[in-house]
Amino acid sequence: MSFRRRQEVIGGAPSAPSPGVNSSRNPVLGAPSRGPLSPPSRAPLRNTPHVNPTGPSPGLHNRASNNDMLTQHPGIRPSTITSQPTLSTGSADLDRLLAHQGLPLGNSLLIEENGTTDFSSVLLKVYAAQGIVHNRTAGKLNTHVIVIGSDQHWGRQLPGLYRGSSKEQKKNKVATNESKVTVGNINDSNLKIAWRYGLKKDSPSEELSDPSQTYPNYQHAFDITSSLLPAPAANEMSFVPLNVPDYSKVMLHIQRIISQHQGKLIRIVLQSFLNPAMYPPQLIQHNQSLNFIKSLRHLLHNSPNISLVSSVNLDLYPRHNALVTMIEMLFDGVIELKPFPPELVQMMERIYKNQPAKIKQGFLNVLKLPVLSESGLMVIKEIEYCFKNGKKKFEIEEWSIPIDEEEEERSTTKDIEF
Amino acid sequence: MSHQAQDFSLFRSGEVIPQALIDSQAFRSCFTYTDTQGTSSSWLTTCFVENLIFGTCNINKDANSFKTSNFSLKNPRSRVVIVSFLHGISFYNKTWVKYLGVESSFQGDENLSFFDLSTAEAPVDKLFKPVIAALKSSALPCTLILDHPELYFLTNQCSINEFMSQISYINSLANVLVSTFADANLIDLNETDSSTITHRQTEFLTKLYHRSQGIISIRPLETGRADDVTGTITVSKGSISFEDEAKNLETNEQQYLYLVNKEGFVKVFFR
Repeated sequence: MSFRRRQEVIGGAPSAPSPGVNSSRNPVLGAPSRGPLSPPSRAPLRNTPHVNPTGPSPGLHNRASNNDMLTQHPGIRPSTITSQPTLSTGSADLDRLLAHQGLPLGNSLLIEENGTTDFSSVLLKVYAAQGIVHNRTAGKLNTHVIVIGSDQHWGRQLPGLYRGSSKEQKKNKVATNESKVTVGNINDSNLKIAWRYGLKKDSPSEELSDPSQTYPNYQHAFDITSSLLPAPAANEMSFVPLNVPDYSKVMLHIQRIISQHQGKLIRIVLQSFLNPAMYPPQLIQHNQSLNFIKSLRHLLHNSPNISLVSSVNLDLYPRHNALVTMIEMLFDGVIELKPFPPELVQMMERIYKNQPAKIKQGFLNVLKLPVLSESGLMVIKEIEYCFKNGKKKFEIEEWSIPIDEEEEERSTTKDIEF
Repeated sequence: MSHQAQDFSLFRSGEVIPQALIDSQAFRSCFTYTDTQGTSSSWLTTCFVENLIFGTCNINKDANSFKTSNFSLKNPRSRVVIVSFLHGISFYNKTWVKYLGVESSFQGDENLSFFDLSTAEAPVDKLFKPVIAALKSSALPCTLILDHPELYFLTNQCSINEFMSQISYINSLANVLVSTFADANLIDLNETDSSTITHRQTEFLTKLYHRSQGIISIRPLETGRADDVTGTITVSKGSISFEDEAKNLETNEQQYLYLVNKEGFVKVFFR
């Protein structure tokens, strides 16, 4: 009795060992000498395991036939509420929080941050990186990022794609190998049973109903400890300097870049708005800055392919400042990042010392949601969500007050003793 | 057992905007409605437009109420001129399609004209020239809706007195409804620095209140967010009464609770 080695392609040419794999541990066997197996008789078996989960569905093919950029772009999907074209902010949890599964095109998002932390810049970077990744995955330039107030150095700091933990990477490798037509895979008894009882029939429709399958390249996970390589090129990202006497020059510069990139999705990043370290004094005047935001708002509302994400530091401009109130009025969506006070951080570290994943970093308040707030819906949610900036993603969860079980136990014991 | 209809009205007669006010040749009214963050008044603007044109009000009945009216966009109760400093017409079109029956590509016509002044930088004496021309040329009674005009004077070199004199002049030609922000952060009567946003907005609101026959305040609930209530609407009398000019008209001082849902439908209840 002879055994055929698993992972070996039937009838195929022996594949070259993949880089990083020790070829001595993966010897090429003489499979062709054993004669090819009859593929037609195994057709049902071949079809089921080879459905590409990330492949385009028939619906996508129809959309692709449309020449319109908005429908062709892999990074655009309809809003789940208003059906408006929507793009991903680069953070799946933030997309969910915005209620549209992203930021509707022609809308703006303001991220306010308290304290000396810089969580908002992480969100801005994943927003920009998501646009660049769409260029890379589509194989053509379909997105352009405009960064106001920063230079190329900022572009080089964009996070790279998250490849998964070492465990997940190993798992993915196994899954990729298993998807190949090998003797081991075909002999898999589970698949035979599944095929016999028709259990695999439902899988294509299940895939279609899953949004991540319908829009496979809509959003990606980013690893903030890595860098996006290669760094964004000049045809992917432009920088608008702020060393100008007034904002009209900035607006002209932005409009020129947009006209140079017709037919592309434009993502505008406005980092640390009104930060005196980046903005010259003449641009911090309230009427100048409000005029600038008004102009950006007008540009966004009249362009179907532009979106804007900005950040502002609330330590420099507190929320009770009238200027911040007016800026909030002019943005379509506003969220506030409020890091926990040190006492709460210490308490969480004590309570969750065995479950570090449960330790969050701050509150996330929702002040405005794109489209919904303008229509009169009350969406203000304060101290209802919390966030954690992890390596894999910017997590946003509903906030629940941590329960100090030790404290509770102590008080119960005391009562009994008493 | 009969139930009292919990209808939204600005006047004791039970109407939102009565015919007598529209028809009055000698008297022009001014109403102010204020909103804050979380309680955008755009739905009320649409409600006023519907009522001025068709005489109906979707929040008192349903979205199709305009279809039963004797008036139409071609034959309106009053011509409406909207001057918006915040939104473009495409923003309002989304709801107008539903509540006024216009096309989604509607760009305004002579009975419902729209002026987008969201990026206007013209001097204040020239700012309203096309608007004044439209009001003067109209044979039908006109009502002007000013959508957040503070965005003009807060971003341009213009004194509040100059701006108010323009509003007063326009008010002599047509009934005026003014929507404006009234967030607590924007109002401080003790602010002395006249260059600040707070001082200018406070001055504007104070002067506007003293010119108004009615004030409508749309605010979130003081007790915090609720799933079944969006906020409160408070209708109160302004500093000028109707007594001398239009004796039969009286502002209906009332407080309502209201609910806006995700589809944009609004329901109003007595408080």
